[in-house]
Amino acid sequence: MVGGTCGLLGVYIILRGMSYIGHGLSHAVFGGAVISYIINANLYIGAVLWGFLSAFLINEISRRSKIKPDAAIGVVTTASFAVGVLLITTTRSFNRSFEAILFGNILGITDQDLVMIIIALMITSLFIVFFHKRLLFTIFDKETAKAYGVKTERVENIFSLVLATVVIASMSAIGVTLLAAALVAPAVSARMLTNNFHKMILYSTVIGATTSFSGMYASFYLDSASGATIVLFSAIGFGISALYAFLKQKYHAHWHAGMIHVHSHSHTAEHRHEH
Amino acid sequence: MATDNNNANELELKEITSGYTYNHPVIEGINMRVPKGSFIGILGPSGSGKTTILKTIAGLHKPWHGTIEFNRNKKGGKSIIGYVPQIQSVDWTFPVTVREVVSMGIWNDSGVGPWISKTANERIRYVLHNLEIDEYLTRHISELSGGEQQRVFHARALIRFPDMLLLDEPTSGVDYSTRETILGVLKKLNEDGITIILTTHDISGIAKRLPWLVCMNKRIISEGPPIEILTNENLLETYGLADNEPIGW
Repeated sequence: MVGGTCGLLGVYIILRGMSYIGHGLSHAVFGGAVISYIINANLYIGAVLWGFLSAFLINEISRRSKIKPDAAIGVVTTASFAVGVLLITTTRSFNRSFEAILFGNILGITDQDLVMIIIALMITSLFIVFFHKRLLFTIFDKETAKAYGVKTERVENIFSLVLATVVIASMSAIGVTLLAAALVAPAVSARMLTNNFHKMILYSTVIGATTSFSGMYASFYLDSASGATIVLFSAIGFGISALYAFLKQKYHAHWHAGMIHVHSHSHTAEHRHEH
Repeated sequence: MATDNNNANELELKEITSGYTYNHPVIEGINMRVPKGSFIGILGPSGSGKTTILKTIAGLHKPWHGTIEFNRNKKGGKSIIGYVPQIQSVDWTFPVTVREVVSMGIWNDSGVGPWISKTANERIRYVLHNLEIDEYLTRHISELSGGEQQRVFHARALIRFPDMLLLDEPTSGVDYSTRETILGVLKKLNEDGITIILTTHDISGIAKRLPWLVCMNKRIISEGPPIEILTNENLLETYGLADNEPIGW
């Protein structure tokens, strides 16, 4: 569920050219989670409040200031992560639940975590059904979308909030330090395989779900950290997609004199084949 | 003020001043009357504020000072605008087809679901057919040439059935024959009653062939039929060369 949700949302993240947002937000929520723990509140309350605040700040800074979004995300979220680390070290409260948040632990998932994951999946699905067109238009051509009445800033803010929800829901399973790869890897793998947006959504979700499932299974048998294993499986998925895309470009089947041929050739600038 | 006997205005800009950085206006004191059905070119060098005027009309940029008055269209609503940005403003490797890009023109008004409605599909086919580019429908946008990309952007604006088309440098980066095709399409659309405002820095290829021209550089320097206003004096002032010695060999 986590892998599929990350894969689904990841498509919009990479097309928006903001792969770093997943990385940043996942680090940011750590600060909120630690504060919740220290004041004895529910972990998710702090993470949600902190995550939403960070998402809002990232959007506003990147929109209003001269600096580029990746730099804005870097400052806001790493500072937030630093708050978490500082609080852990000063209160000497590092324990297994923080280790799980940092690196992921599938076996430690509670019923509450599972509910959060289901909520995130539902929110993501609803968001994509209702906002797909406006979000895609905003990502492709924000200015024209705005000229045609799309409330682009509202769409971007809601997207960031949905992303923050997914990040928070995934942190127990995958871990905040490794989540960025789980968000982005399935989407870039899917991008390698197709030029069709709908297929990309499907492939990314399936790759995300498959690599997460196989990674989780492998971590159980290897007794390894679930987040790291899932991310490594995602990276392997990306490697396979890249290799497939390369081979497809180099050797692709085509009809020639009534027979199907598969052999190496290159494309010239005029899109003619050279064998 | 454009030459048109029709006294109904599509829109009127009054004393518009605007910019992007505080205290550094890009356009200043712009007054412009755009009669219905007119075809106006805005000529000026890079940074002269031509795109800012288009964006201000399109509602993308709020003026610091001044007002824009839109006329009501036949249906009693505000004029429907078709905005065509420069083709370089988007990523043409984006994983979408021509059908999806064209349908974006009415996405905000076509329901919340992720699908393209039957009505939208009919409108897409109608517009592509009118632009004689029916065969592009299912093509991926990365497979299009510069001229084809431009026409897809036109189609995305026309699917809105606009009263007015705003085009930012519609012929930049295209070859001679594509430029002629684009001009032909725009002329026909104008004859069909659509008001057209475009920006250009191409004097001989575009500007001097339009019915009405506005020369500007931060403020309006002159406007009128090209034959009357494309004088050395106006051009030197528009391009900021008034105090320079002409370069010669």
